[in-house]
Amino acid sequence: MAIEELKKHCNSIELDAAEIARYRGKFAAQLPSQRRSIFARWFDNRAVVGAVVLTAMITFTLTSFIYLKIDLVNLEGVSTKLAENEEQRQLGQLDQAPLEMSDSSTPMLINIGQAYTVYSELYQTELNLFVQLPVNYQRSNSSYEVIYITDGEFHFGHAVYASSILQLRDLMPESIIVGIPLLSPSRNSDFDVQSDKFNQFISEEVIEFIDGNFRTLARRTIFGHSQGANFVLNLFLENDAQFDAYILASPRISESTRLRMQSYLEQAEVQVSYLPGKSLYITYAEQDQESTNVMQELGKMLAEGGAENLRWQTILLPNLTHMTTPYATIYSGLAFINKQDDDFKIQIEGLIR
Amino acid sequence: MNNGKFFSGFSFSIFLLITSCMAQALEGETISKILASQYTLHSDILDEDRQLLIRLPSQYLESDKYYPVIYVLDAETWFEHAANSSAFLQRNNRIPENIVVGIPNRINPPSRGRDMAEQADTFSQFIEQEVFEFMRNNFRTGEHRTLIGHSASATYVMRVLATRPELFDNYIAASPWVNVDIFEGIAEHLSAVNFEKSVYFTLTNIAEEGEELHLRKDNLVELFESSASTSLNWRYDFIADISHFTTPYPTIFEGLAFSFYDYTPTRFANTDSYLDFGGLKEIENYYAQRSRKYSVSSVIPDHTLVALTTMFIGDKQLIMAKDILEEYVAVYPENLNLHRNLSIAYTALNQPNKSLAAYEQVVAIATAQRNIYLARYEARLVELRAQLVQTHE
Repeated sequence: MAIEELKKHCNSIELDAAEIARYRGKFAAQLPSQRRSIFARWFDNRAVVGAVVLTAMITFTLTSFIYLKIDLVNLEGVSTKLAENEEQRQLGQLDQAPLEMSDSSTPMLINIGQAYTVYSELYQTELNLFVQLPVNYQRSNSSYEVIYITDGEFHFGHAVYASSILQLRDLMPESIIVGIPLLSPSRNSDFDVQSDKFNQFISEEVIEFIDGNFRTLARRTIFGHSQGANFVLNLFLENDAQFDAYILASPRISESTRLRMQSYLEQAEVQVSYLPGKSLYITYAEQDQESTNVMQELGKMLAEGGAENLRWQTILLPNLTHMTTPYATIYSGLAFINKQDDDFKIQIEGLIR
Repeated sequence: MNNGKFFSGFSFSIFLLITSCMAQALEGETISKILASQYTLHSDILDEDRQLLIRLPSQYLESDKYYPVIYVLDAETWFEHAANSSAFLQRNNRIPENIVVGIPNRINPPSRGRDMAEQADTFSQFIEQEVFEFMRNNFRTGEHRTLIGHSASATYVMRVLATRPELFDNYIAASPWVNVDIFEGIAEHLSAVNFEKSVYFTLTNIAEEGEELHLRKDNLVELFESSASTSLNWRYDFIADISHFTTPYPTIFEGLAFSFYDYTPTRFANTDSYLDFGGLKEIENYYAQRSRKYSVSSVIPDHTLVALTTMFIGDKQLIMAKDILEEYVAVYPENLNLHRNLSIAYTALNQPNKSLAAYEQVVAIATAQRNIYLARYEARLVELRAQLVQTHE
């Protein structure tokens, strides 16, 4: 009996591997062709050989840059920033494995979207926007929802991965993921003191760039962590018309913020014309001590009514700390906002039985 | 295995250039990263070649440390997530630096049923005698090991806990099926006083997992609650509303965080909770213990000291802040925030000369680091100097 069950699982997991190979292209597909290095495979492609020859000289120049520790991927530009507090101490770099050059090993490379260099009129500076298009984007004419990730330097990579797992299992629609970097040297500035400017930048420059260059739907989600989550919450509380779903990891919610939420949600006007169709998902860790009691109050308040038209959830993540909630939150938040209504689910289950 | 920085740098830049050349006109620059390295290992026990995916910690090539190892089953599906999770948690000082080893299933013909169930004991031999051996011979691996699996592989994880618990320290199982043999095997070990293991397992809704899995889980939870000694660190989490196939996502991330609970840096909400904990002496004990278990430094980490003294200053416990900082700026002379906190404490304690001296260190470090806040620090230094002149006048 147990073996039968196991076999059932096995089949579906073998399918997993095949699906993933097709879906993500690179990762699993490399497994069978072990012995030849990825460089050897590149050399099969003449265009690539051409590119290598053309760039060989430049490469030497650039190699010297590596000694100067200049980050070529330069995803961040923030890597030279030194932190004032714990949040800023995380350097926004790709978590990269060291490259070994032993004969017996093959480096495994994965792609996580594209970096677009964009000029911001508002901030008078160039910046990188990170964009991951759905796998079928080039082959289709469909338009897609967009998920905006603030603190993109930190969270874009795992947001891409989380959404790929959910898309693979049809737990969310195919979507475009956009990572928005911080523009000021401090989070405090973008997310709090000058949040109006940052908000304007998102609506007038980021969303415009994305909608202007890609096939997008008007349905948008935004994610933020810590101060970034408070920024997202403020958007929600200001009748923001741009986003449909708000995913917050470890916001710092004071009693006064909660009361502000309460009085906001109690407005009939808000309930009727603003909340329908919106989702709000909030997580917090035990370590977020000043928030924990307030969060429980908030959960109670939302449960007791006043927000029937809002899809919401607040969740305590028991094993995590303030700094590690974002990784889990993006995944569970995307799953939550795309969860089908319970009625619908019951219908489906009824059909299956 | 280390042919030097030059070649890694060289090939890395080739790879970056190629990826950028291949990008199309309207496309941005492709962001790629090196996830891991693949190795082929010939197994005499299984009589076949098997792949291993190995991700070393980012400082591996520059260090001579030995690292804990995290083994991931079904690596063709879950390695990337386990490696990402591990990197994210390491970056936040939540788990020690570690090596992640993925063991993919043989795909053609499929080996998963054989390895995880039918001939699971043989597979355990393969892991113990060949995989561990390969790791010992080629990498600096410590003795601390974690095993992660999903579904049939989670069942295997629980089976290893039941049959060969000495192989791993941490067991992480997403949606396991705890059958009678496994249940009884685990039950036998539980009364042992020094059964020092971490066990973390999860299930999602009954509609996804089936009633049987939930019943078995309930039995196991009851067993742990009634007969596990305190040396066993275990937790079951119910994960609502996702699919059986996606339980590993939250499970691996949270399971790693849970399993390394005794690695978490100490943090306190206020001075009272610090004193309740037992003060600096207990913090030192905590890090000494952590050092023994994970072979990391036993000195209190600088981020803990910064957080602690910032909290003291906020709570107006200036003498406590000053005493700790005076001791530890010598240990971490390069840490700007420690010097800065010391300067703040001196100012508040009305010792302007010492405050100025500490702040000169702040500016010196910021200059050396090309800190983006340098101008701000320099302005503060000028201010402190002016105040000192005033007090002299």
